[in-house]
Amino acid sequence: MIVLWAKVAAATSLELAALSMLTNTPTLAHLVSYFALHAMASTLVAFLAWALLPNKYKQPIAPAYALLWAFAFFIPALGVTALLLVVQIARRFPRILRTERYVTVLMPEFSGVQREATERSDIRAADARRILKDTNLPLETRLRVLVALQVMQPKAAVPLLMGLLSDPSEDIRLLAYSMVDTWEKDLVQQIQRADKALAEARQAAEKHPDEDAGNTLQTPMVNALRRLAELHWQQADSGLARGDLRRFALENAQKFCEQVLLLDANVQGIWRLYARVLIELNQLEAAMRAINLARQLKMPAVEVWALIGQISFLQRDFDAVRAYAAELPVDQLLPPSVAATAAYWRRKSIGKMDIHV
Amino acid sequence: MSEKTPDPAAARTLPAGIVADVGLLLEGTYPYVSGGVSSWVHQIINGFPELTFAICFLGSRKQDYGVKKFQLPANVVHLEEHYLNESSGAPPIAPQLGNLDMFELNEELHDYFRAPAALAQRGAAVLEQMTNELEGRMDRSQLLYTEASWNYITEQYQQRCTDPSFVDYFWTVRTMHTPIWVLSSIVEKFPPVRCYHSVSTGYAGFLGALLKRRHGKSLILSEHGIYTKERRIDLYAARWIADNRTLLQRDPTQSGYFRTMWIRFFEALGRMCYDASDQIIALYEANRLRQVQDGARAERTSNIANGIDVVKFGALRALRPQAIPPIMCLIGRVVPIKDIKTYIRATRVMASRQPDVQAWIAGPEEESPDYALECHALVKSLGLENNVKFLGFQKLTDLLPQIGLVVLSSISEALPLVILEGYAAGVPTVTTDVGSCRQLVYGLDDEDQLLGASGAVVGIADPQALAEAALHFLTDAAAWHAAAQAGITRVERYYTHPVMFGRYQTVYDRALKGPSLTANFSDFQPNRTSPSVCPVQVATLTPPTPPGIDLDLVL
Repeated sequence: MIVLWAKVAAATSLELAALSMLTNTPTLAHLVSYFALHAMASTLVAFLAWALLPNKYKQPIAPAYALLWAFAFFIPALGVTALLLVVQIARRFPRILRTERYVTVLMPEFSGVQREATERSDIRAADARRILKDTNLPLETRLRVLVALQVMQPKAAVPLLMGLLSDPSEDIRLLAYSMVDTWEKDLVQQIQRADKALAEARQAAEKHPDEDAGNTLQTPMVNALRRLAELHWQQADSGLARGDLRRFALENAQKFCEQVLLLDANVQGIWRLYARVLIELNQLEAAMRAINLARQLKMPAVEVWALIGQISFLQRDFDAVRAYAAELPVDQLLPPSVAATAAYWRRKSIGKMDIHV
Repeated sequence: MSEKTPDPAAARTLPAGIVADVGLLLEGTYPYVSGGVSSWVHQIINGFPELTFAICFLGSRKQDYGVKKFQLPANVVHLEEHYLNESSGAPPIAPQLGNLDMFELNEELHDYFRAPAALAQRGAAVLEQMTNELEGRMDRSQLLYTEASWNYITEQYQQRCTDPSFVDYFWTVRTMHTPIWVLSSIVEKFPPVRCYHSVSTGYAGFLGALLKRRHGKSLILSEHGIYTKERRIDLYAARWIADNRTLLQRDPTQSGYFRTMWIRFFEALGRMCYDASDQIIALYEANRLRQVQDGARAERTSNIANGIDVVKFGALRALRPQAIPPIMCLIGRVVPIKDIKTYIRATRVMASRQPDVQAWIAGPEEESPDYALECHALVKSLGLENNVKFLGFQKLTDLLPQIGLVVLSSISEALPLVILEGYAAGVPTVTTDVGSCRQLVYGLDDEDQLLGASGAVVGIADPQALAEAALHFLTDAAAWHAAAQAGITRVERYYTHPVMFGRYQTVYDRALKGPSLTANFSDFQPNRTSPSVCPVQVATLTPPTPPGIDLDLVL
């Protein structure tokens, strides 16, 4: 301890001696003497500080000591004090000054596995039906194909999924169910939203009963009704509603179509939807009347033909189907789905059989 | 958290230092969730008053469960609950290099999971060592904070992950593994018991495997549904699992990498549980075969069907009205797995033909409030407000005498008690073709089948067929009486408490004598046929509710 205080006293004395060199008008010799004495004092101060420095901060020795000396030399008194203070804080509160939390890591490289992910399976949609129905195939294979149906349109996938609800494998049944349920749920939620929109539109209309019928109050109601008609139609058309429930959905669609037509007979596509609903409900004459009305409202000939052709077909009036087919424009101007059917009905014979007979 | 209800009378009979005879390991079920599995657990506890039970309840988050749905019997001497999806419990952050020896073992372990057959012997030893170190050199901080962990995850990502998002991969790995350390901490604190009994695989089953390894006591596994299968379906359909593949990378016949990882994680948990279990019990043969397919050793498996109190329910027959009430009732919780919507749609079909038909739904709605709302909305949209009634929870002894038909429209069941209870009360059933329902309705063996059909079975999600079958029984008195009589005879002959308790008495006797198998994982050989892949790497940016918690929401 005595040695320590002796060193402190020596350092202080040297520093005071150095400062005394600056009290009078300093010459070059005074200045040199000052720096020499201050350097000696700094060496002693650094030596004292070194003793107070925790071991972990003493490595590597030369730079650590040089740093202490530099603090003592260039920032007399304060430098070393601050340095020791920081060291003590670092010792007692390591989290404050911890730097090792942050380390530089190598950037993950683009993986070869990623490239492999682009290698697609050789199972194609055309095989899906066959694979799913083949209960002798491994379950994993069938499950993989079943998962693939999720990207298909519900109308295409639902009939297949419905068939799988009675599959011997419970895994297949449950997965098929969950997929059907998801689509069904989405549709029901859309219906609920449209219901809500309709209720709001009706409320708004009731609040302003004197407003002009063609004004902005009517448009939201027509839109909501049309949306409801479309959604109920989708329930039936996609196969999500079956049996009596399908009929129930179609009747709802019919009801909403009629409500739209009462408000605005020029709503785009509503006549076509109405006719399709009536056809599915087997109200063929009503459907034909609806189409005739639609014709008067400039419904496109292609759409009219498709519907009339369908009605004629269902009425087993095949000559009428052929007559409507003949009236259609050339195939290039028809939608592909209609063109193929039209081409079929324009043919005079199938194989060697005259279909006009 | 734990709660003790000491029963000195019971405790006196136990060896020194032992708190209970049976450690019941329950995931997402009794006593906080009502339902078939919970009722079964309650039956078992009450059916063995001479045994004492210590219960370990595993849940997702505390807020997902309300108050206890059952009054704990006096022979439950200990109850503790743990929530696997609660963020608390992470060790303080401390940067560290990581125990390189343990990470080498970890790598070996995952190689083993990928090729269990080829690496069986070494893999089992590694698994044993790793599970021993979960509270030691391989504690949770090793996963969370070490450089070795980071290096391992990045390396695995580069080598195996086919999903482009490293961020999702990283968090998936952390989320998936977190419950493992929660379970390992339970192992150290769970009170000493004479044997363990898990009612599912999954987390509870894995806990059973760890406990058996740690304490060398016998492990019983009673599965109602097949946990792994249910999880797989949930995960295939789940929308919370990230799939970041680009259009070019996306192959519709391949489920996403993270989805596959979750599935394999639960498969691995299931296999470890099967392998550690001394006795593996299914409710019926199809499930037993499924257990074997999933890795259970056939010689350890057996079937024990559910049983009910036929005296109590049989007394209700005297309370029935003379005429068949035009009332059908779905008895069950209003949750998606019960497919209440199909039941409601079937009611629409029936109401079109018989407008006065009544369709009751007797079960709590609070477990899946969104689904319950959807069901109410469906009733409204189908115009069935006068036909469908949501009764909430009902006492079966009050309900059964009033109804004409028990209907189940579930997409998954095991061996539903409500069908048996309905039979005993003289009510036939119309049910979907799930679980053992076909056997309950048409009989299992020739002798059983000779009793006749005690109702009808229809396909799942087929409201038309469900409605036709229900209408048939509600409108044809002769058919109804024949089915009711067949049900009464069937339940009294095959599905009684004495039959079930007698079988379980043998199970417990054997378990209380000690493990018949090696106490450790030394003979662990995960499914020898199906390729197993690392069960370890999965989660999403937003940590999801780990699947596999609510067993009773499944059954």
